[in-house]
Amino acid sequence: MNKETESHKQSMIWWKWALSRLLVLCGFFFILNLVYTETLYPHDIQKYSRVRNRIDSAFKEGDIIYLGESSNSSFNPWTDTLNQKISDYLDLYLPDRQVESITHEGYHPGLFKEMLNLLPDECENKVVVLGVNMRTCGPSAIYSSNEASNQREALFYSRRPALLTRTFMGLHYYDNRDAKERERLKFKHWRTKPIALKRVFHDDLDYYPHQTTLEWIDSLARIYGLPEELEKIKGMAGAYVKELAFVLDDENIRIQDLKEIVEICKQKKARLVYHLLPPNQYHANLLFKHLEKGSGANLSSFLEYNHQFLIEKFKEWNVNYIDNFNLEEANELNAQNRGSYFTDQWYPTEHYNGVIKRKIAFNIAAFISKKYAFELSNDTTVDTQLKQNNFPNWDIIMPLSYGGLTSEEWLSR
Amino acid sequence: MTSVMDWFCAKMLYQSKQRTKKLIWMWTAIITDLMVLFMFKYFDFALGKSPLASSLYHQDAFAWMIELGKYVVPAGISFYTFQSISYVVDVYRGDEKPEPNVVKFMLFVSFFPQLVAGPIERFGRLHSQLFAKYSPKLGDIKNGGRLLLYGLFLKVAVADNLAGVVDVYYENPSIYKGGSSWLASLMFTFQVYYDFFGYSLLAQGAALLFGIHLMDNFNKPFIAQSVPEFWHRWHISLSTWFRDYIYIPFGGNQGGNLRLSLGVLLVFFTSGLWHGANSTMIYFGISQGVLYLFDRFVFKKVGADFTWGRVLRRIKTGVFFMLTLVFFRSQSLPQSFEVYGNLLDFSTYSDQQFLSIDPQVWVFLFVGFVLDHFIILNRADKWLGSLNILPRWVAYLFFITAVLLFGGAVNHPFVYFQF
Repeated sequence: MNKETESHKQSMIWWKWALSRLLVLCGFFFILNLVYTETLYPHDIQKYSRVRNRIDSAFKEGDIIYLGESSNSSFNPWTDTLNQKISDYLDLYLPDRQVESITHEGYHPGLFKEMLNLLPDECENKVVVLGVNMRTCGPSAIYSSNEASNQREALFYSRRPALLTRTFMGLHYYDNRDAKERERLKFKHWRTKPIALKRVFHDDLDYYPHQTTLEWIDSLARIYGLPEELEKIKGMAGAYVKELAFVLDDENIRIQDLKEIVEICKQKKARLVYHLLPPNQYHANLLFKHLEKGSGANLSSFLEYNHQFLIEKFKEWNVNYIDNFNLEEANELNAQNRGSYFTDQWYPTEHYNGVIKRKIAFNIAAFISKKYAFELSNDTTVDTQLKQNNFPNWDIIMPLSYGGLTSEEWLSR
Repeated sequence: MTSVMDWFCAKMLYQSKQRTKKLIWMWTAIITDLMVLFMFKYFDFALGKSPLASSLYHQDAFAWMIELGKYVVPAGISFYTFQSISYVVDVYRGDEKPEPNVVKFMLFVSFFPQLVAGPIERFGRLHSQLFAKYSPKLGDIKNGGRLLLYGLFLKVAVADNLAGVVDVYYENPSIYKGGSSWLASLMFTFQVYYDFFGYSLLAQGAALLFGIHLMDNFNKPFIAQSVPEFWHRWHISLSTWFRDYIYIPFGGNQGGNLRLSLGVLLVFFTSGLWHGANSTMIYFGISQGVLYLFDRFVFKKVGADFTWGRVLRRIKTGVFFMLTLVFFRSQSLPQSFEVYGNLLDFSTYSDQQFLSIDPQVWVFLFVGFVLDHFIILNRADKWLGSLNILPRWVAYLFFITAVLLFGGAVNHPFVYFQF
């Protein structure tokens, strides 16, 4: 009996000891959270999360919220003297609506998904326009070395207590895999994911020379003895293969993110519109005409397959979409203007000049205005507004684009 | 694989009667361990950029091995290989009896708190604790928690914040001059120390929760008056390993000054190579060896008899270590020499660009240094346990606040994880 009482007493002492300390810690965390939220948290947001402060105001004030990556915010230094973004043009085309944009280089649907969790619960009248960049669905973008810092930034897209967010950041509780680990995963993807698939190539696969992306990269690297200009093209072709030679499927993390975004917007009753950005098909096709002539290797099959895949998914998810993939300005007109409508001449990006940006914005505006009965300005009105600020000369051929020759002329010298 | 091999070889050598056979079994184990270590860590480095290397790289088997070394090095391979080798040698020497159960032996090799970055424990010390009857003790749990908290403070609040400063410098050393270079070197010295010391405390704390006492790996290295003393206080488990398994078998102090010097250089060369498969680490090791000999034969006890002399000796030892760490941190030898050039560049006293350090980094560094070198005389858990409840809880809450609110934003894995 005595032993039992003694043991009970001991256990009570232990519980008291543990509970008292737990209470002190809980109280301390509560106070620390209050102090942190009021003092250091705003500085941390500014320092570590580039767009967090934009999110709440954009979601609150915007009728149309444009979510985009560098296609929205990069400018051609020679011709885009006005520095107008796609979202700026959209604002001009939809004068009775407030367009707010949240944009940053390297952003992707995974981050937009986190941001959209911050949308107010009921937002029936808000339109969310999200630029879908096919390239961000590929292994090069998914396993980009910048991803750890993106994921750290995404910690702040949350309504959890500020103290917890800061603690997660300090203890690196997010997908913090380093550049080396991501590079390994990228190579694994390139090495193991088959790309010579019947569903991509409708013709006889026996003639297709590369089974995986890595084989393709390797075969390009082994083309020796090229003249100087083609050697340069070889490097560029390698970059295009790395960025665009992949096959989308339901396992793709970005496809899953896009699907989740549809669900989030449905839940929050927001009107979601995806718009598909055009890649640089002109260069993608041109490069391989000269390097792997007749080998059957071509990037356009991948681009087209992934394009159709995305469209099918959008239909399956019953989401509004605008297909700018084959936009005339990004293809035929770009070719006529010596590839000058894309800012980056030596690397695959979706950095457009004003012609393409404006056309994309017009297509989005036309779609939205028709769908939701918004007022749409015509081109002349927009021109007048732009001219007030020194209308840019989009006809300048960029100095980078092969010294004034067309790409075809330059390659066939 | 190496654990099973070592276990088997130790068993066989114990059963062998002839010395030659014992030696064969011991060397079989050691060579196997070193070959596996070589394949993962040194194969790529050994090939270098020779024509042979590029031809091998195009052969699938070798390309595969190189990729293996680049991406899938087993965690803590350098640490557990040494731990395993010490077991075989101890059995050979008759200091230990072999463990009959291979699974128990593998647990000794892979005990998780110290698997990835030490301390490198000896079989006799760890094995007896691992398989002793476990009865949880509140004292051990409290002390383990204290070590975990203090270790976390040193790693997250001190080392990770210093890493941010050092990274900025090493991204582009060419834009900095003398002042920033000295500052970055000093910060890196403390970064490595608090990163590794913090890890060692975390390992000790985690083990203590299971009632297992791991050895202390650091003992106030910056109060050392000479390089030899420094290495008695820094990464003690590795230093004593080198002493017992390389330096003493090579002749130790018994074979005259030349043999001693060669032994020291061999130890530090091996230590450099152990730290990493690149030339900068070898330079780091050798430069430490040279300074060790310099202190032992030239500097000797100069100034050790008066207070200021001792202070200067401590500063000298710290500066020696700091300077050799430039090799440790640099990406390549040319970058090391660039940093050394910067350190000597006093052409202008004001830098073109000066490293900026947030005030809280200074505060945590100061607190960490003062606590570690002047207040905590024995070990953090014992010091915290000896305080009255109020100051103890003030200390706890200070460490907690530092960890929760001021952890370095960029992820820096433990420096010694790469080894």
